[in-house]
Amino acid sequence: MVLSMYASVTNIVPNLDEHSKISGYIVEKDKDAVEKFEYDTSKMTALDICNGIWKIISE
Amino acid sequence: MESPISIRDTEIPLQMQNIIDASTASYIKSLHSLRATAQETARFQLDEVKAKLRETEDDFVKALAVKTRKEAKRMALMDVVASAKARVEDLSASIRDHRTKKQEYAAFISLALAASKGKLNESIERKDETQVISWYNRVLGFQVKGGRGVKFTFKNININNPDEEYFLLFHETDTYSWNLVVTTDEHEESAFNSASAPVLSMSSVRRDFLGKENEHQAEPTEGNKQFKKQNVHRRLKSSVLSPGSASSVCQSPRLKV
Repeated sequence: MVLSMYASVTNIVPNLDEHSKISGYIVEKDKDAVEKFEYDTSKMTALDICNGIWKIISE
Repeated sequence: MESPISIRDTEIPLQMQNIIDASTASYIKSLHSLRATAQETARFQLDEVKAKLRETEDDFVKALAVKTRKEAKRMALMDVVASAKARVEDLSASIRDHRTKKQEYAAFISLALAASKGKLNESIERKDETQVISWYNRVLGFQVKGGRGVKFTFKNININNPDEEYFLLFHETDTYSWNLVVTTDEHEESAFNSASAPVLSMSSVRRDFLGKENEHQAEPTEGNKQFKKQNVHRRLKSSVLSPGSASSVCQSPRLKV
């Protein structure tokens, strides 16, 4: 139940297979579309990655 | 007396000579007349023929002009036809290219979509729930806790202190509070700075969150609650605009929730 709350609020499904990168998919249910995102942790700070993902969520 | 034969001989040649003379004169006269007539006729006919020739020449020139114009028109038409054919071939080739590309793109999209969906299912099924929740907490600075209501906590908002937490409480009684919890002793100064400095990011986060409000209304809680969107907006606005308000909220006993 809690996990579905996270997924529902953020529309994000994370990809946990890559440990050197932060990546996953943003699901837009109304458009039936899936967009992949990927950030390299060696090139961006955790704060920037966090803000980048939230920005994508809000678009 | 002379013989009659002698008289006749003399008379006959004289008569014949007269006849011959008369005939000759008549012939010559006729000949002159005939020549004149012939010359007149010939001149007339020559004039006619000349006129005819001139007319014919004019007709010939006109016909030649018409022929030339027709030929030029034919050539022009041939050029236009050739150009049109070339254009048609170009367009056909272009259509073939576009059709090919369309098929390729359609195939690619199908593959990508299938792969994405497969990955989604794979990702959800494979990983432990705790691990996934940990990802949300770590990467998005976002935490959800249930209890007497729902508490949403956000981090990575204050660039000077990313570990500062901001949380939003939805109580079972439909009341809420937007609160600031600091991890340092200088909480008043931090409250002031955070309330003014990262206003944009705070607004962004709240806008993101409020935009998703309808998403979690369907989630089962202790009875379905209708969150009051108007009140949330009003409350949040006053909270942002007034550092004093934020500072006073820090003293609220609700911090012990």
